[in-house]
Amino acid sequence: MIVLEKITKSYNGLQVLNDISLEIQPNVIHGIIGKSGAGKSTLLRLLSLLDAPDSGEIFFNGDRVDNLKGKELLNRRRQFGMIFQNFNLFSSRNVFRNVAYPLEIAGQDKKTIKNRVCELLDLVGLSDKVDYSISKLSGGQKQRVAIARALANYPKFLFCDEATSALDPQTTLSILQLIKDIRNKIGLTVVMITHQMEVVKETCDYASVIDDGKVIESDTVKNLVGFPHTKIAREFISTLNPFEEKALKKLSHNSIKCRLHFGSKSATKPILSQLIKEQQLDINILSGSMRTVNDEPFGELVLEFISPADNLDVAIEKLESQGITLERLDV
Amino acid sequence: MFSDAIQMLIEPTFSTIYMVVGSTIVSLLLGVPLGILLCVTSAGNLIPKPMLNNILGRVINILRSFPFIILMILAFPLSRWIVGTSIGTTAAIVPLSVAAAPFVARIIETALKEVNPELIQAAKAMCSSNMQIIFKAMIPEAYPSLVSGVTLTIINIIGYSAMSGAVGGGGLGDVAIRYGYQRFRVDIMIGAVFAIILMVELTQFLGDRIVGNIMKKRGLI
Ligand SMILES: Nc1ncnc2c1ncn2[C@@H]1O[C@H](COP(=O)(O)OP(=O)(O)OP(=O)(O)O)[C@@H](O)[C@H]1O
Ligand SMILES: [Mg+2]
Repeated sequence: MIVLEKITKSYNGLQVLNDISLEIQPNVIHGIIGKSGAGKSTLLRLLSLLDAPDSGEIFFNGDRVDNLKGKELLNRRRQFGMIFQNFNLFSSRNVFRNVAYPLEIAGQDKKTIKNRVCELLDLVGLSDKVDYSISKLSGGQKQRVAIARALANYPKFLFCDEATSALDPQTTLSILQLIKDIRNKIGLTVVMITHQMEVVKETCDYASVIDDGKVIESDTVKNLVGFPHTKIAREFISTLNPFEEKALKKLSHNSIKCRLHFGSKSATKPILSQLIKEQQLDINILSGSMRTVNDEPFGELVLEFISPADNLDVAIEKLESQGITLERLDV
Repeated sequence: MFSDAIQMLIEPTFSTIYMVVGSTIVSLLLGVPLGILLCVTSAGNLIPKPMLNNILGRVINILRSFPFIILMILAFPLSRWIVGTSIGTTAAIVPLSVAAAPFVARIIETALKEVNPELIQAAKAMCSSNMQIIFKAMIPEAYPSLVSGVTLTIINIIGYSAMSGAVGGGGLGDVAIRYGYQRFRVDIMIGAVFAIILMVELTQFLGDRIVGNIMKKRGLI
């Protein structure tokens, strides 16, 4: 388990992280989501012990690690694998030698390196690309090489910094599937930094939302998606993209617009149609979407209520009693 | 007459090659470590040491701004001290190396600074030591620019070596001045110039060829 306690970090007087406390369970995929500049990469640099916090403590399985030095630090860091948005592969090395790099660094002999690299390329499905040069690979293949390289020295933790942000949706899915498969196969704690809620919903067991250098919500993804408590979490969880938002703004201003979040229980019931019948509501459906989180359905609807206000209050009460989170949209 | 000119150019050509090769080796030996040091000690790089970096940069700039002709004369005592004499091809290697080393240092520095910082971060994250980052990541990544830089260095040294011939350095420059200028042997002068041009072209060709091969191997062209 990784525990962060009251971590702060600033760069040249700019407070990037203030008071981050966080627990990451073993063998889970833990997403960390936040806006650009929220301090995600900084947090990951601290977690991977590439940088030290100004104050606060970091524990791995109960051992304090943020103050380690020299050999102890290096030994601890050998347990980490890392992948990046831009892959950061060596163009001076072919596929084989990229994956071999961390093994060379660790001083393994040639035969061990060869066996391990083949094993790893097999794991990521690139056995047929052993002697390809990096520039001949697609983005997805590059990230697979990077994953193989990250796993070379049998890490216990895999840190991913926006690992799928440079990939198209299809490739993103395949890389996320690969990470899930690997986690299931070899038992690995994965910390996944992203600004894409899609990625969190698809892959993560737990997630933390960070904003303005603080953790504002941290829970299982199922709870977070079903019942987001804060506005920022809701914004992330929302599938309402800026384009839709712009379109919504063009609609009339004197109606009430709400976003409904359905958890896995309520998503399967015909709650809305019941409500329309019982309360005599006129509802205009503006947008809607459904997805699964850990194989359970979650939904979201943006509605426009064209009804007297008193009916509406009863309706909102009714919806909330059914486990639906309601959010007034100020558009 | 013509074959006589060629005859007279053979030995100086080899002297020039000897001077150029010797100066290239010595200037690389001096310049490469300096260049690496300049790069890694700069702010935000591997081992930031602003003070050292600043001093080093200034010294190199001062050396680079000396006109070569002055440097040659200033290097006479140094040559005498190192190789026992201040005239001849071996002695000429001293000022040539002193002139080329700061140039090499800047070229190496520039080439290494082109390496993507994120890549260096990644190498660090994989527990590489600073030495491993320099020799297993930065230098191999910068290889094409490094080779181009060395090519340029050699071409510069060829040019300078002709100049050093004028003050007793020997080689093609010496022959061109002594026979071509002072004794009106135009054929020898043209022959010497031609030999120098040939050397420059050959160096450029080989350098480009090597860079091309590296790029091809990396699938970049
Ligand atoms: N080494 C550094 N020196 C100075 N400022 C830094 C440094 N690293 C990060 N910052 C600043 O800290 C803030 C947070 O940066 P960080 O990279 O952690 O954000 P992020 O959440 O990863 O953003 P993104 O989604 O754009 O990657 C930014 O304002 C950035 O300018
Ligand atoms: Mg980032």
